[in-house]
Amino acid sequence: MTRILVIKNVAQILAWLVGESAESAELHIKNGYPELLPAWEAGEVTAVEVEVSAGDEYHPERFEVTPEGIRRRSA
Amino acid sequence: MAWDPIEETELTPGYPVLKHMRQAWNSLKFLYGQIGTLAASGIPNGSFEVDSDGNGQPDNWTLNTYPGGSGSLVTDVPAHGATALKIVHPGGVGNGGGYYESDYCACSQVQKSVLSFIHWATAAGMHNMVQVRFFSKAKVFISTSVLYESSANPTTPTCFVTSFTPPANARYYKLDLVGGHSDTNVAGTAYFDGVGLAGIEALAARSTPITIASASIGGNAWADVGSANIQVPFCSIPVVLSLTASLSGSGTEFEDFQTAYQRFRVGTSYSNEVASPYPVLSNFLLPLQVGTQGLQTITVFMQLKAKNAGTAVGSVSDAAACCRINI
Repeated sequence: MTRILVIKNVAQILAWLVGESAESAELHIKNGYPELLPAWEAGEVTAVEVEVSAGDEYHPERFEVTPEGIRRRSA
Repeated sequence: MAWDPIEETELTPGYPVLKHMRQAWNSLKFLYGQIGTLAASGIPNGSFEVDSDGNGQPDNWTLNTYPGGSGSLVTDVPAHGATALKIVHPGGVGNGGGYYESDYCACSQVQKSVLSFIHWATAAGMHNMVQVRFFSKAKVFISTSVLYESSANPTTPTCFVTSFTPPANARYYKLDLVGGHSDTNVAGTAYFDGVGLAGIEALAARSTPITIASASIGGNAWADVGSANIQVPFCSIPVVLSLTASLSGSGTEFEDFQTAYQRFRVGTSYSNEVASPYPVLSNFLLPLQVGTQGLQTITVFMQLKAKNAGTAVGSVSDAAACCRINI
């Protein structure tokens, strides 16, 4: 399993960062995703850590945002 | 061994020949030491290869010991050339190893120097240091700058790269290699080797080709799509990673609304971005946050995104990922 830091809004994945922790989310946003900073500070963008299986770590397109969290799309 | 010339006045009949022979022998050893130590590295005998008088101590370096401490050349575990330097802390409160100080080396306040050295210890918790002491042209002490100081030293030979800028009026400096400072009661042996003004070369030598397999992504959100590991020496100066990567989008030269984007990151540090609808080979520069402690295998992530329902395809093929000093 590989840890992924997902930065998202209620509808979509906005950043997919392999091996990163939730604590580093704000620094990633400031350094790599500055366009998300206003929404992050407004609470419209959030960060969550997820564990994905080997082989999925570089395939964010296999995952989606649902009301329950980040879920793998059905095959 | 010092220069010990035979004076003209001594070459007279009846003068003891044995003394002349001893003087000639000493001077030959002195010259041998000078020839062997005037290396381009700028630090005389920085690889500790020359011991012209065979006393177990390197020419051009002077050993100063703490209580109970000792130091000598070793040939069983060299990391650079055939000999290395060891300093032994026997353990015990108030005891220590010692330090080797170099001969005077010339410097200038308008010239920054990059220093690399190899260091390791049998006990990581020893208090080991590398410091530089600056002197005026009259060789009057000015100040000290600590280049390396740790009580969590590597236990295998490890390359460190650091730099120093001499203060105003400094024209000479001496390096001090401290092993097992007496303020820390940890027994062990500290090793030093390969000390030289060769930091840039050291970084270049450690640069390795990296490959990141071709990957693609759709969607307008930056995402990690591949990675590679690269070895970077311990470094206390800014370093930039330079690498070349290919990118292509699903658009054409005439459909630039489907643009592909590519960039790289190490941790929370991000490179420049490249955007193109058609295949391009681009250079990326990535500032590295390289510490003076810890593992120096860093992971470089490739990120892609695509605009307007396009697809971005990127890869790194045997790129000469080059670390360079950013000063």
